[in-house]
Amino acid sequence: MLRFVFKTLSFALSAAQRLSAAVGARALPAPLALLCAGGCGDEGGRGTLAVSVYGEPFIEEGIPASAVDDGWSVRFSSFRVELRAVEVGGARLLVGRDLELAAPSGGEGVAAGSLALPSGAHPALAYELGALRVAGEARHEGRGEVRRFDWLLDVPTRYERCALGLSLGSGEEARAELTIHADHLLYDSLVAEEPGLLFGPLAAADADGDGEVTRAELEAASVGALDVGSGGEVGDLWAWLRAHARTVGHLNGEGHCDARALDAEGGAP
Amino acid sequence: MRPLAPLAPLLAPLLAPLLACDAPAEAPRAQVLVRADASPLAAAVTTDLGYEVRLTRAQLALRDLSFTVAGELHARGGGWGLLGAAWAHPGHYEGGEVTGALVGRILLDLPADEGRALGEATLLSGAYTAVNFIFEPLDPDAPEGAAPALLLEGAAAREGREVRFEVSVTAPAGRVLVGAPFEASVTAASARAMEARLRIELSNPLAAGCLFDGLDFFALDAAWDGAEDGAARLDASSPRALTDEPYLALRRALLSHSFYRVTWAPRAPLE
Repeated sequence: MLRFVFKTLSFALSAAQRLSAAVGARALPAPLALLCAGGCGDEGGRGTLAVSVYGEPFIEEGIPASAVDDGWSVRFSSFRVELRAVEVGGARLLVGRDLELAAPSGGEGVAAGSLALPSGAHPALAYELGALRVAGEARHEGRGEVRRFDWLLDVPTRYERCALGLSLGSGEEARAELTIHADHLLYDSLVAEEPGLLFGPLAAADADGDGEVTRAELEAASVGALDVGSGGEVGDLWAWLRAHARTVGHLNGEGHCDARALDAEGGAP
Repeated sequence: MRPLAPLAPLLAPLLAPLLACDAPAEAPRAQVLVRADASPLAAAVTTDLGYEVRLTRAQLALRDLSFTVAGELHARGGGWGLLGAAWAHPGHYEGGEVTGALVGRILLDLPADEGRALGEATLLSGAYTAVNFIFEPLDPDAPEGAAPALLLEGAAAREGREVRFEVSVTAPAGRVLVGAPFEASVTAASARAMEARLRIELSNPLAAGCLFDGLDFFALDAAWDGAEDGAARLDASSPRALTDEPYLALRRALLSHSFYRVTWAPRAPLE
């Protein structure tokens, strides 16, 4: 419940931005449309979609213990996502760079670029993420324990059929926010509709007790009682973390996408 | 009485033709008899550690057996559809479109239930690839997620020594088993001649390996219940069940689609 309240508050903090994205250009037509008045549109009518990537307070400020079910809190010193491309209809924005999401952005996220689109309806958006670089530390105040982590999760994933619901007028500019949900990395299930959040299993993987949870330690640690789902192929915590890393992408806050692995692990081309 | 609302996605394909006033034709459907099949328990399996394991009893509680045809199911917020895409390997069945169902609770008690009719499922005609179901507590009055959904009893033998075992396993509340194999071309005509048989497999029917691989029963004899007495018992409510890796590996296997199957076999006469 606390996690729900926290997430609700987080959501509210950037509600205005999300609203503007959800309704497309209609929330911010005047100044931006003026900028484009001379040349953004064509005779068939064109508009612009500005794309940003936002990690929400969970990435910029951390995941508080109140949101986690086993007393751990997590702060990210770095949360870099490799944004490869964004697609709307036939238009493709090639980005091809890492974006740092851990720095405070005032709810704006990090600008990724813009897409020029024909005016009209654009129901869906797709985007591709490559590697995630996630570094920071977790604390358990009750036990006085700290764990550091610095993980490179190379999980190329295409997020597609994200519900954009954009109706773009000629000369208008709309916004789309690619929202990254860091809390998915703490999910206690790969299949539950309402998973809990745990850091304890990852903390316990620190086999040498040096306070840093490494990839090698995670690879050596079983998923134990965590629910890997019906497939059963995920056996160690590194694979577990990689599987969750393929689910972090959303659109405009809580908007869901279909996620598809782009590497051999996923069997995709 | 269980509310039907959560079953709406499952039932929609079956009901849609009835609700569509101007539907050009009702989709052909079949009534499929579903029976319990204890035949895998009749033979012992040999594990990777050389144990010959025989199950003397297997209990499983489930509800809402659904039947799927080949198709695409997409992830929503990290659901199992993504895992299907990300982790599926050849020969396994993931996702698919639900076009058949046997709604309600089923308690399997094998081998006692061998051949027992579990109900009649309604399926649209089609080429089926898999079944799904939801785990339930064996005790219908127990809360989901906290009480065992499975109970196994058996014996493991090696080098002339035998260890009897008894183990129970919980499933998370509402946990869905997705993608157990069911290969059948179902029509109204074929359903009159054939039946579906639900079974627990001791060997993975689609890949190498058996349900008890990795379990060193001689070691578990003492480890699970503290007494090296030729019997290894571990109840799901034991604190050890939260951390014992051999037990948890068995639990993961029992919650996977690798050890369940529905076969399509000539229909036996009803008793």
